Amino acid sequence: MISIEPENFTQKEMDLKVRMEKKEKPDKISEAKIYWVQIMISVLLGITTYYVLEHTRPSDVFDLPLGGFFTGLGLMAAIYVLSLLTLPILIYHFKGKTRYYTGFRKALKSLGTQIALYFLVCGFVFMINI
Amino acid sequence: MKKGYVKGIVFGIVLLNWVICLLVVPNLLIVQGPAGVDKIYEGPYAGNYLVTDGYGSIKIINFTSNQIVWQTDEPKFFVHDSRMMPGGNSVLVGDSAADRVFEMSLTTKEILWEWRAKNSTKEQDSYCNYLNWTKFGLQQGWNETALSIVENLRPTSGFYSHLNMVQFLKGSNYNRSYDSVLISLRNFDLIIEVNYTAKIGEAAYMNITWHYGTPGNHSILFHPHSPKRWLNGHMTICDSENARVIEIDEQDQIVWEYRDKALRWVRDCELLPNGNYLITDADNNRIIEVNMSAGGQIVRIFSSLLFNPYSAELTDDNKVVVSIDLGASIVVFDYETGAVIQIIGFNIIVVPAMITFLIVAIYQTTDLIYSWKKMKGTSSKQRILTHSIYSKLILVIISVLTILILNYVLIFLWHYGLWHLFETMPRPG
Repeated sequence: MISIEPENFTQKEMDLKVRMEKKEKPDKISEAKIYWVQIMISVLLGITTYYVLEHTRPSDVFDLPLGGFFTGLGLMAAIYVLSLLTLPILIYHFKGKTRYYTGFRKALKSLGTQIALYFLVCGFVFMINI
Repeated sequence: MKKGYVKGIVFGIVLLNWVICLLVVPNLLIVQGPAGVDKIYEGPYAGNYLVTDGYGSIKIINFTSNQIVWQTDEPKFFVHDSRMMPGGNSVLVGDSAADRVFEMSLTTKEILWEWRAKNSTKEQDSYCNYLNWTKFGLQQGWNETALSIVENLRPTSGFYSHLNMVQFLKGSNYNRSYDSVLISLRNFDLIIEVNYTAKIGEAAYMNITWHYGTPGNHSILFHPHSPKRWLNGHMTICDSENARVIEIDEQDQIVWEYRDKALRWVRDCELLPNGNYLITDADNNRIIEVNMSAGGQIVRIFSSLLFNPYSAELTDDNKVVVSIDLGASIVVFDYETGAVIQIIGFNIIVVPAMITFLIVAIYQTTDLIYSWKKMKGTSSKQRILTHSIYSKLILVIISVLTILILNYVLIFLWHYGLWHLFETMPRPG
């Protein structure tokens, strides 16, 4: 009987084996954990967006073509989407529990819900500040 | 049926809803973008309403039969304000697209009087014209910034002057020997009175009999709306970007100022018979009645079904008539109870958005029930703690809450983002 022991492999084969094992290792972070981090980001950035737009009026500061759109809500929404897709992945990646690609795919799954929640929070804070 | 197909069908229905509401429905409505509505009290059309249908024409509408009884298609884009002239036989129109004010006969549709806000020469225009803003500005001691604003014919923001309001002032009401027309030039941060009885051919810049504000000097006015001179000679002005309403006396001194940090884009102010003021707080989706003698106390709020209202008027039969230009509708309130008693038109922004969230809520609820049933054998607690269940439930809750405060979610998008985009869109002409 042939035993498959590490000493029977060459160094090159060992490296390949380690790489394959690493690739096949399932992510420890579930979609649910990323989802809840995203929920928190949506709520916090929704509130922040309102106060930033209301008090700093970036559209008055920058004079760009379509300035208000790109420097006002557009800019804040871009920061939000970027945070939504990167922050949860980064948090768990540095804890060594997820890889960028699989984390990114999981982060994309609830994008619609998160964006709807973000604007709902913005609208709600706007309404209570009348 | 595969889930992918169902999602595709749902997406198709949502898309169809927007296409119908934005492209088909407006053609079937009697108003497309009412920027102003006033009840007519004299003349052949007394009892009807004069509607400035911003993106179409000036219309006289019978609110009882929902019929257009008179209309003109001149200009086609974009009329901003109109008022009946004394006697009710002609209408004074503020035309933003062409930067002009004109008076049109209701019987012949002939233009009886015209004033243009752009520099011109005597040869070009037959009415009291050949305006020269530079000469006028130099006479007033305007600085270079002010002159550069009035000389820039292609501003990046909206129209040239963005002429947004007109009012005919009968001279005898103000101890004057001449009649005049009050005009608001939003992009110039300026309100002027023009001599209506001036002879044709006279220099128009000499016929600007009064003005308030200086272009670019936002400490006086910043994008004003709806100035109105009342019979006591005082004038109320909605100083929109400065989030305030002011009243000035005949010596141009501020008598009172209603400033509230919560005001967002005030666009109309009416003096009521009881001495209160009816203020249109557009980006807060509300009309407020303010008692200035009680220090600016809000005594009434009308907000049901409103989305970015433009103007509001209290009629002689105790109705508050509110025009919503962006939402293509007119909402009539009972003044005493605040109840909505009539809606003319169809809100082409809020309704399709509401339908979209309704479809999402229905789809997600169905999906949730299906997933719930699939998990037979597990307890309800286990089911609810499953990601595929609670994520759908959360989306249903978000959709329902969004429907409930949709007016505010949409006005948030408009106030901080889409309005700027709309303002910088290229204009015809």
